[in-house]
Amino acid sequence: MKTRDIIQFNNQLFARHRWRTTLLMLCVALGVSAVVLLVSVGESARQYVEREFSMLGSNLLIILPGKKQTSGGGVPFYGTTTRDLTLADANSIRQLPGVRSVAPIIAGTANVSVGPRSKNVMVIGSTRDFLTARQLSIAMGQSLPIDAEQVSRNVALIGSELEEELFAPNNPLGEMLTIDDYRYRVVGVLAVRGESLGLDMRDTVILPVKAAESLFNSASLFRILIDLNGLVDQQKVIEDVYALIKQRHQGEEDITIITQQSVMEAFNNIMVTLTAVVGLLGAISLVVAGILIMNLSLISVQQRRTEIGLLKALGASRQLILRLFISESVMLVLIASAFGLGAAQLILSLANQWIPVLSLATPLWAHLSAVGVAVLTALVFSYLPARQAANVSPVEVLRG
Amino acid sequence: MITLKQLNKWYPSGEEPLHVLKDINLTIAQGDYLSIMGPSGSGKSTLLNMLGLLDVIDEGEYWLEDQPTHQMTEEQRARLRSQHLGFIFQNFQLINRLSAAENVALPLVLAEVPKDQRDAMVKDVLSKVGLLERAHHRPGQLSGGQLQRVAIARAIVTQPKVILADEPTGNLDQTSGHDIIHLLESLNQQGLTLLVVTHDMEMGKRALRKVRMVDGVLSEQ
Repeated sequence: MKTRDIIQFNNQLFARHRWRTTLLMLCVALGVSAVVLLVSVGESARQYVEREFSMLGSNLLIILPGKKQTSGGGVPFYGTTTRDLTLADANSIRQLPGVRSVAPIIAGTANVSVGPRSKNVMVIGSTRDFLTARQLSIAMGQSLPIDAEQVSRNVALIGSELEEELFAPNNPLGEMLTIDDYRYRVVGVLAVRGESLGLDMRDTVILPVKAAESLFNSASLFRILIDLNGLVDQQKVIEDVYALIKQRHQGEEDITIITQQSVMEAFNNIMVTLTAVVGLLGAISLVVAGILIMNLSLISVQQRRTEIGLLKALGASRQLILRLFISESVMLVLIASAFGLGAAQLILSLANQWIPVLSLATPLWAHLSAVGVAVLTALVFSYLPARQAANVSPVEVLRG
Repeated sequence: MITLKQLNKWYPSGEEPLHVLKDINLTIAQGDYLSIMGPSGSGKSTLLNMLGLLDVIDEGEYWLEDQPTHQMTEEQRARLRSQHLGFIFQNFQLINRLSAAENVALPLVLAEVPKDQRDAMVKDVLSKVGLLERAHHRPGQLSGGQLQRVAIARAIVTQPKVILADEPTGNLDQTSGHDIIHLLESLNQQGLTLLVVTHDMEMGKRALRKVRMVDGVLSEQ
């Protein structure tokens, strides 16, 4: 039997059993859509994280206080060391060859108030270089003073959302805000830029690092960001920084240096695993559809025993009967997959239209693997019914 | 053309297998018209199934066109069946979702005959059985006699050498039965070998050769 005839034969069957075919196709289409949608959500999240990191620039080093042990575990959020990283450490790193700029960071949460309005927000103490490293720009007013590392000036930059909540409808520039017992003059407002690596910059106050030292009553740095010159050997600078800090910290190598690349890879691995897991969850629905295919195929074999016997009497081989029944499931799954992929694309484009920031996109491999799993499911789950059909004895079923 | 030598068949039945065909010897020449008669359960249909290569021989030999079918695999027998044999069943065995023409075309589809050629052959046989104008009707829209004509058209469309008919008039009224007998006889006169299992005395008597089965034993009359 030629492929074209098998397709036509199966089409006649589908037309005859419209409801059964529609329900089966609906199941498979839902499964395929689920795989594609879940994978695209995971993949888009991964790409989002990748974009965020790439915005930091590939020449960025991040120094954390405390040594990360090689025995495993993640990068410590807060350092665990008896020796703090200080502004003096940051200054000495700045002298190393290959270093373009250094941004020391002090961070903490505090209550910020303007008159009766107040809010608990993240307060960051740093320098102008921090804004460059994080690609933050000033929407209104000016940046931090040049001497932020030397002089404790009570000036502040605020995020756009904080401006809205504390000052609207007034212009915040030149106005005072209070953080704990300290008063700061607002000199600039950050341009709107959503979350950056989990930190909502719209809801943040940035102070000169010296002023943050006074506010938190601590000279301990939370991080140091190092921006390297373009063509410098990154590994060499890392070794130099380790050596310098070891020398400054009485022979103890008590810092951890992470590169933008290593963080990105770690996140990438996590996101790929997550995407695979959610994709797998979607694939389970395809397996359920497969069980349904098997169930209905078994019923179909019972109902079509006479037809199978007749086909055998007319010269159909066992192999052909096997092929007919398997092809019926595969055809059905392929048609349903096309609908499933179409539906998923429609949902994704609607989601992108409504919430453009999602920028959901499905990689080709997600389409291919969703259809692949669906076809594999059809092959596996239709084999048993097909074998039953192939074993039908024409003598038994054609008896008048 | 067909030679059966010492053919035996048993069916499993409790502890003792049932011996349904006993040492059958039969030779059928090209163009023969043979009726197989006998009481119910005598083994007539089993013999027809053996001749139609639908069932396997337990003992003995079956030569069809000088080919030892008793030594063939299931796939080889299926091929031989599609090349040389045509079947007519008492209850027509048409597929309800297919039109008359599509039912008739089924053996050609299985034999991978190209569509153009297939259409011409179907048209030819449907006109032979007088049903060309009903080609696109489904089985549900046809009478008993017409259904058996479609079944006959399907049996002869591959131009087989042998037609095996199991009670071809069993489900028909007298007039339709006569028509079918005449149609089959005209095919026989055109050179087709016709093997008919029947209870219909008239049809049995009209055959050129008559054999009788009783308790699995064949005797020529």
